[in-house]
Amino acid sequence: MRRREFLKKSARGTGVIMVSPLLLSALGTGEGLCLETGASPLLDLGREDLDKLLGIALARGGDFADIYVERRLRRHIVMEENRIASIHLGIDRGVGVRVIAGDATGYAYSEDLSLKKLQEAAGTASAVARSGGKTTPVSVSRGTVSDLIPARIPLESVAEDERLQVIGRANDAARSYDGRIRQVTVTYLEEVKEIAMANSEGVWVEDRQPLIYFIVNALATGGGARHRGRRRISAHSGFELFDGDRPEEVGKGAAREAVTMLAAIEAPAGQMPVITSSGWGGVLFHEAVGHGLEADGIQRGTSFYVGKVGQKVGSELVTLVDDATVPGLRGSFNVDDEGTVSQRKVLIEKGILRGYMYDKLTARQLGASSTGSGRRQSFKHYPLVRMTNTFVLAGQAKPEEVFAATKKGLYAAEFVGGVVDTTSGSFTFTVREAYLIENGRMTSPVKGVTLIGSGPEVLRTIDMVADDLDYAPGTCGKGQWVPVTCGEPTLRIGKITVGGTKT
Amino acid sequence: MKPKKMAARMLDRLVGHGATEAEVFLGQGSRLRIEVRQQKLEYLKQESFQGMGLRVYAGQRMAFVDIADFSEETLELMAKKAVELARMAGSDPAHGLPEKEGKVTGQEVVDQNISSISLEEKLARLMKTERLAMEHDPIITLSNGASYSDVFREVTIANTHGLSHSYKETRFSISVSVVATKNGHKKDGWDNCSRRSYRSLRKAHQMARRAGEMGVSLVGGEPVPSGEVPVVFDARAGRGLIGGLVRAVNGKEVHLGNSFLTGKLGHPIASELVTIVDDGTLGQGVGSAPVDGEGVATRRKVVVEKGVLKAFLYDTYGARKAGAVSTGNGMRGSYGSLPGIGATNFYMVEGDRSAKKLIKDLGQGLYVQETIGFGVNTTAGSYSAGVFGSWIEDGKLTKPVAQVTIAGDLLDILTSIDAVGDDLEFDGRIACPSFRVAKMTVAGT
Repeated sequence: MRRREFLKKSARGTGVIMVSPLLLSALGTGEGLCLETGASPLLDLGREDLDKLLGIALARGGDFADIYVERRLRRHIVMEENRIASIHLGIDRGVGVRVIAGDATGYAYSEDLSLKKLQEAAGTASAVARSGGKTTPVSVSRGTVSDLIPARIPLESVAEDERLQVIGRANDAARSYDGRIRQVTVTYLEEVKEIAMANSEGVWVEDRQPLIYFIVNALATGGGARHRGRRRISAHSGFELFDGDRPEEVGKGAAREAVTMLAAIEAPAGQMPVITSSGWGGVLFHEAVGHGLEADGIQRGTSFYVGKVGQKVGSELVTLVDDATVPGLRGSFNVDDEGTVSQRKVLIEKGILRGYMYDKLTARQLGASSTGSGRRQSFKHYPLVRMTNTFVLAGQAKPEEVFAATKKGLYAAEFVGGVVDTTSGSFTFTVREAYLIENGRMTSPVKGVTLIGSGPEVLRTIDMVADDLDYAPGTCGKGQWVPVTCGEPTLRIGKITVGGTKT
Repeated sequence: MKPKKMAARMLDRLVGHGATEAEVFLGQGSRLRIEVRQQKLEYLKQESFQGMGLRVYAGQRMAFVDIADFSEETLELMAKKAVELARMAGSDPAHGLPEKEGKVTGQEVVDQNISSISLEEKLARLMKTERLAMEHDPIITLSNGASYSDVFREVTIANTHGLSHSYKETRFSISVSVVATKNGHKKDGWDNCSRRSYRSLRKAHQMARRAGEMGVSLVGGEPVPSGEVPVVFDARAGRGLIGGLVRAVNGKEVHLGNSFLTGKLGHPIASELVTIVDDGTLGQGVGSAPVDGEGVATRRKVVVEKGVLKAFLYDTYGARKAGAVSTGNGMRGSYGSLPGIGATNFYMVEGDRSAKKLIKDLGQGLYVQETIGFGVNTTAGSYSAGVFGSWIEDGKLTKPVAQVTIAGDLLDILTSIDAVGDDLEFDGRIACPSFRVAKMTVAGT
């Protein structure tokens, strides 16, 4: 279908499930590539086609079916050794069909978008239903969503060269920070994801999610030591993310960490109070608590938090939310990957467990409603219950008071990431930049170290929470990768095991 | 259209748009995944995929595009765009296609039976694995589930220097995780297995026993006091440490100074008991293939020989940067990724001690059965990870241990390996036997 036909069809209001053909205009930056090349829209399906596909999906007796259409334009540019080492452009496009029958899920997808192939995929997905029999008639109708993803400078309006300039500025800032900086790698990741979903409950919605991820790694060497510092920023945003001197800030931040940590001494081993930094320190809550509140672990009975709603599960200083509605954050969206409108969930309120996160499947299984937590890596994946932006709300203390109250301990400033063993509740988080705290003050930097604890125990020992809430971007893996945000104000864990080498 | 013909047409198209050199990587195939839990089918997923990655050069400048949509319009648009992007990239003399490749000695590893084994048979095997694991011991009351997957893939690589390779491959994987419960504590025990043929997958009762024994032995673990003790890694737990070394011997990272092994070639970095090999030609290895992701013949490399660092791993780009030659380690996760340096089958050669003997010789120590966390820091050359395991007292396992970390300088750790077991088994690309480190710092209470 040509663009003109698309416009006509839309104007008639018959509706097609599709991702805007404008997406391909993002490829054109004045070099003469434009829509007239015949770029096709994502998928030319009308309401009747959707109804028919959902009907095929449910033909063997499934309880629920949905169709997920996605097109994603990806850019991945790397600068290394002062030159643009690679420019990578990719297009993903496909349709996934899911059928739920009881507790079982059938899934199939196709990258071939002909109606025939989509019908085959729907038939394949339906094989999971074994009861046979009834076909439920389906009729979808188009819904609208709010816009939590503001983009002042749309990515498709950005000339390729502007991206390269931003990358170069971050590189230069990092390199000129200090003579001990040996290498700088700048990674620029951008995607424009456009999705449409229709399901057997009659829902039919679309969303558009531009996302930028910008990472600087800087290597410093000196005095026999070697450290790689890192800074990353990310947002669902237009190119305004790089307004002002943001690229320089990111570059300098990575360089500062690398140079500072050259002086790091051996980290202590044993239990002690640990102050975690605002922003990335929130990875603690993502791992130690958040995964245990995803309803699949509740339904399976494997989570520590089964049956604990209404009970005190942590320090009363802790209020933890998962909020997909904060405009522009890396984990935000207008609708989740099952077509449910994004929500703000209070998971823990002043230490009391308030509720879990649900997708459609776990909501059906547990008699709850979806909290808009159904997410997938791409059309090649079925949805799972996932976090979005998970953070602890600001407390009353000033950050300096938290330090002043700590006689001896560790300050964890920058993190590699965290991992949880959901069955036992043990979690680790790995610190890349840390300092000793002695007599209420930050002193020597110490080498990177793993912290380990039991999620439920650590949650109880949090004894100070400051007022400086900040966020940090990450990518969460649970068999599938999705963009998330962690967050917290500066806070103190009363006691946790620090896995250093100095006993 | 046949893949080789499609690739040849794409190369013509790219040259037509002004590419000075170009490469097409085509991947297509199918994948099946089944997940069961508590003896019920939970997920059934069937995929068929196809896509191409185009590496395009304009002189010494390079860009890469990947496409899953083979419509004429998209192919034309992306080919044109690829050449334009290449012209905008930085000039780097290390860019370019591989030199004429060496003799291909590795074989394609494909199980022709893949299409004849029924879904019912696979599902039954999976159900049996989970059931036997749950029946292993009365304290196993829950299951995290079991999963099965198989993949068939056909790969075609062609470039404007006349290189053209095509091969097929299959991979079968099965995993199971069951939960032991004791005094309100829970811990899972698991096993996984990845093979090139269905027939060689580990038997259901063997997987069940390994998973069950692990859960039962680890449940209720508690921290031990901090201190320095000998540490025995079992063959599964050791993979994290050995696998962490892949990035440290990545020739490009070494060249950039990002590895603690920069400048160490030819020097001892480990005890004489340690020999590490990367072998892309290993028969039935899940990392084996005739050629790597840019069509260079795979081969066997001794990376560490009796403790001495002998070789780094290279793809074509990394090799040119470092003044070396490609070792056939230009790996691609899929058609959608650029080749990058990675392992084929990367393993530590087995020793002659039984795994039990490694423990029996110790008065006191820590037996590590699972690690959690990021482990190896290849830049700093340090190691730090959380541990699930057992405490060793007078040569015997006495109690489960959890919520402790082990840490140390990597060169110190590798140098103090004082015993290597005889229980090497390949369950993936990374493998090692049990081994013992004479002394590591344990952080606990």
